[in-house]
Amino acid sequence: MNISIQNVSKIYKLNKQNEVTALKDISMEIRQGDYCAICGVSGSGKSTLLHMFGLLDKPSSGRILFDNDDPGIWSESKRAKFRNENIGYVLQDYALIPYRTVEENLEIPLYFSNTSRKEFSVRVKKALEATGVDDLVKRRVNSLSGGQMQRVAIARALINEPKLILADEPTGALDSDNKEAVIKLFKGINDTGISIVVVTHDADVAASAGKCFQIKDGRFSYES
Amino acid sequence: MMIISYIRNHLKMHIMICALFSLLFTMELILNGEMFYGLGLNTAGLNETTYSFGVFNYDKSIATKLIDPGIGYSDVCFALITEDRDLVTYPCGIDNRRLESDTGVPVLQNGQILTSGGFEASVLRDEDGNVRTIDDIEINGVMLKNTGKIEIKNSYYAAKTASLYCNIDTFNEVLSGSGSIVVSYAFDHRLSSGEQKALRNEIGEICGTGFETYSPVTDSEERDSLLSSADRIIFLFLAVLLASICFGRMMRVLIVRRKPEYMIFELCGASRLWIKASAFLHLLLTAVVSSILGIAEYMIIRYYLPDMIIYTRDTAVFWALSYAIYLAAVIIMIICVLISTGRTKYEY
Repeated sequence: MNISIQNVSKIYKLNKQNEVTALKDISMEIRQGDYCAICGVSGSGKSTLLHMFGLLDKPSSGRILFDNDDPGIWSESKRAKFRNENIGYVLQDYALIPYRTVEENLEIPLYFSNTSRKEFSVRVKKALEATGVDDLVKRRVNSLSGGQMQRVAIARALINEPKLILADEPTGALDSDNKEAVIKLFKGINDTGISIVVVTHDADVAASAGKCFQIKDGRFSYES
Repeated sequence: MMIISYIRNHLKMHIMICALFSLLFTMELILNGEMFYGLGLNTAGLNETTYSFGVFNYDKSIATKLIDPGIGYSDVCFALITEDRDLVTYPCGIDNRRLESDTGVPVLQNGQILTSGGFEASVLRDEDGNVRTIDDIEINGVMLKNTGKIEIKNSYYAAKTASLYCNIDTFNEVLSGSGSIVVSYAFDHRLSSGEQKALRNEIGEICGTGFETYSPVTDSEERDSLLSSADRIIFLFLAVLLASICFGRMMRVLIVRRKPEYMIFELCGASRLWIKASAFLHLLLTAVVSSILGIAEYMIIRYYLPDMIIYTRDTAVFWALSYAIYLAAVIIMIICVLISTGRTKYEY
């Protein structure tokens, strides 16, 4: 899946006194199988951009094309379906339901897909094996370590076999060993042909990506 | 499994809502003054706060004593006091011996029918189980004559009508022979005010001109004799404060705590419409289930428990049970508030 960002701007509280411009005229291209990092300091607009990629937010101007389709004109339910089938999310705080088991957390994206219930356990097992935490399947999330939770979160992102993984500071809450493990995991995932866009201000994570877009005050300052 | 899972996940919230109803119940008792009953703080007028009260040919000094704790939670209580201050009670849970000692009026006994005390005595049956009538009871040379059968069951509805009709008929008999009689009656507090009013009117009609009717004392007047306004305001303030804390915490648990989950669902591909519908249904379901549980608990405590423990009224067991309930309600509420506070801190 190729993604084309064309002159995207995002302005919050438009035409109000406290108007905030989060993104200004951003353009970029992401090809299927790319591994990109978006770097920048806090408040630079990188997470806003990621939300655009994930169809959680709409641009104020410009457009984002997924294989030349413009989700901006889609209905809310079609955008949700597209997100479910094509995009996996990994967040810094894991975004797992703490009092549920690993298995139950991984089943959430499957509920919103057309997957039959018989297939649930097979898909859960496969995703957990891919991230090396298949022994945790019956454990409650709140009994896991940070590294384990992030692996579970990555497994959940993979469960619907997405074409794109979006990660927002995925190593921000991890120690160096777990950070290395996550970087390695992302590399492995990317090798299977899945595109990855990771927002980070961690130099190691940025270095592991094939492309790095530096963002500052809502604009790309350079691309490497 | 889904039901078990649902209950497990919402147990604390349900307990909290039940505790809220317990608190309301406690508030009601406080405001009615009943909580002081067992502490020996009751006054003669105390029971009048929960019982509508009317007297024909009103003689408060006697009547007040009749509506004393000894009569308590029994069904319709009925007593006759003759001109010579002889007293006949129709057994509806009245402890004649206690009544006698309280009022200083000798209580007439008439075999099995008018034997003293206890709830069981309100069922007027002989040893063979036959319904008994009140015949051959003589007061000051006047024979009380019953016009029909008396069948007072443990149901207070049956009790109220049967005993009143019967006795009022006999009162007329007595009245025609010996003149004034003081009649005191009390309605069970569980009767609605409408029911009480209707019954009171009925009594007035039956009694005719031979009796003066006395307007029931209003609740507010009765309460004034028990608690000062300042006391009630303090109790009310504390109760409302506790209820507010409890309710506020409950809302935080209900609404705020759910938000991260909905965000997760959205990330995983749920549409916003689905999320809104889901959140609404969840709140609705929780509110319905919790309300049913809370109301059920309230009903049990408020209406059925008194019946269950009525046999032990005026005993240490009764008060021990009552205060155990109040205490448990308060403890549960405090624990729930602490739990919800802990959860909130943990998650935010």
